[in-house]
Amino acid sequence: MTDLAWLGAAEGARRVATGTLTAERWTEALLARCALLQVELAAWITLDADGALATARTADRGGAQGPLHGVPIGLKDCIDTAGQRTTGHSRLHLDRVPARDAAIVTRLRVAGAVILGKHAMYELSYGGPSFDLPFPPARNPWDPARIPGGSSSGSASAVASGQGPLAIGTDAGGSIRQPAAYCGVVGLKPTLGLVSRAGVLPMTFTMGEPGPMARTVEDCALLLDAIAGTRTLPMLGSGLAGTRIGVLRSFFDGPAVRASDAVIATVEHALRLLAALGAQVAEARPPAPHDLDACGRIILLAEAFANHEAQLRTDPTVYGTLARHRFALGAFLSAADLLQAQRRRMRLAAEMDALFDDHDLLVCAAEVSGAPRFDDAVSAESFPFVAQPSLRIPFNLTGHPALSLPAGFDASGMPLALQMVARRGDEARLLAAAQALEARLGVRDARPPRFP
Amino acid sequence: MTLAEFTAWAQRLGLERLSRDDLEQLHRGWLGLQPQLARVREGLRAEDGPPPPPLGP
Repeated sequence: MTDLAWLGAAEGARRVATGTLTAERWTEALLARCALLQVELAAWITLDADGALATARTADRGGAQGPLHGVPIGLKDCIDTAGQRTTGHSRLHLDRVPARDAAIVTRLRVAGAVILGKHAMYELSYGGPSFDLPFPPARNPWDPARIPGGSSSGSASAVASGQGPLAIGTDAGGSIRQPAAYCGVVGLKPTLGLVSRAGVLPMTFTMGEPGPMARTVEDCALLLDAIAGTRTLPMLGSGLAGTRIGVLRSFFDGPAVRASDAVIATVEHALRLLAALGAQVAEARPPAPHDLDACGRIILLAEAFANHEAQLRTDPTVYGTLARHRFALGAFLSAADLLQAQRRRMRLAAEMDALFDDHDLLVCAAEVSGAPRFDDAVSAESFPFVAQPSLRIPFNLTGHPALSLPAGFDASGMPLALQMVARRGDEARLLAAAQALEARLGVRDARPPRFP
Repeated sequence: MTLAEFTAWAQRLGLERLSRDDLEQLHRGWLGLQPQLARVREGLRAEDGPPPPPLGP
């Protein structure tokens, strides 16, 4: 069972295609592990054992061989699945059973994927980690006393603990990249508009969308190609020679944002490896982190309120405390505030675009530290995030693809990650560079000691 | 802005069903957001002229 728990998507698909492994056996092994680890990690809201096994058996009978034929996957529970409960981890949607699949779920089924179930998350992608919701919060497999990050928390926890090689998360303010960083998996926020949001419970309108999470860059590329129709896989292996890397130092080692020493050392180590791989590494001068963060926060708050306005007026108690507060704060913003933020967004996006005149990729940290303990993360304050700029919201704001790549560990053994950013639509170059670096970082095959 | 003023504002916005605890948290959040709001409002005014028309050349 352990072997199949850690089997990657690309390798597993090859084994299924060549008949050395059945999708049913793979799925059975993962379902057993998911049930076992649910007690400690709570990564799932719904496990669809019957549906997954039926799909796997159908895959084993042959038929069209899509790129994910027989490959198990989990979905964040804000992504609609026809006939299967989709709650957003919220009391608001506790009994909500969509009639139709989300557009990306349709693509996954066409590709041959086996959907294991739905992952725990922060409530409606904004309220967490919380203990006042109908389901418990997911936990970090590297230390279950610590948060996995969010909002795609169960997705990262599951992939990192061998409960499936792939997951789909969503990212409107870092919700794929933060949990990927905290749990030591690869997470990609695609170019804004690349992946369909049809059938995904909305948190915002203009800041995010679904994206892939996996244990390796290759699997991340495989999944992106399946849901977005891109062709990134053939570009893997193209290397880094001559690639111009711009370092966003103000995002992790400057007056606005000072990451932990371990994070800074991890980024510096990765930069040395990039140079050794033939990349040209130079400093880049992005817009101020405070400006990017402020603009992104205003838009996130306004759009989140717009999504939940009617419910907040009629019965706000249906939400958990954090979601209720975070959705309501946008009520106090004016139309002019949102308009000014959107105007400023265009200017900031153009400034970020200009960096790509001199650089092919941008690099910074994905988070300022390893995952905190629940005791420290679940505070009495609903808005702890207003104090320091986010490292991830800037790219939701500007729409550039951004990837969190596991890059090391802190003294407590918690994963640390690098963030790599590319031109809009240049996921192929981003993933190729990330894979070249991944091969040298030496952390790709690390497993949480408690869940080998 | 005091909590009482903020509470009255929330009621004018139709958020009467929020509890006193909710409003205290939101009040703190609103005060904490002011530097970011000022950055968006004032930063833009300092560097930009009036917005171009939304449609047309």
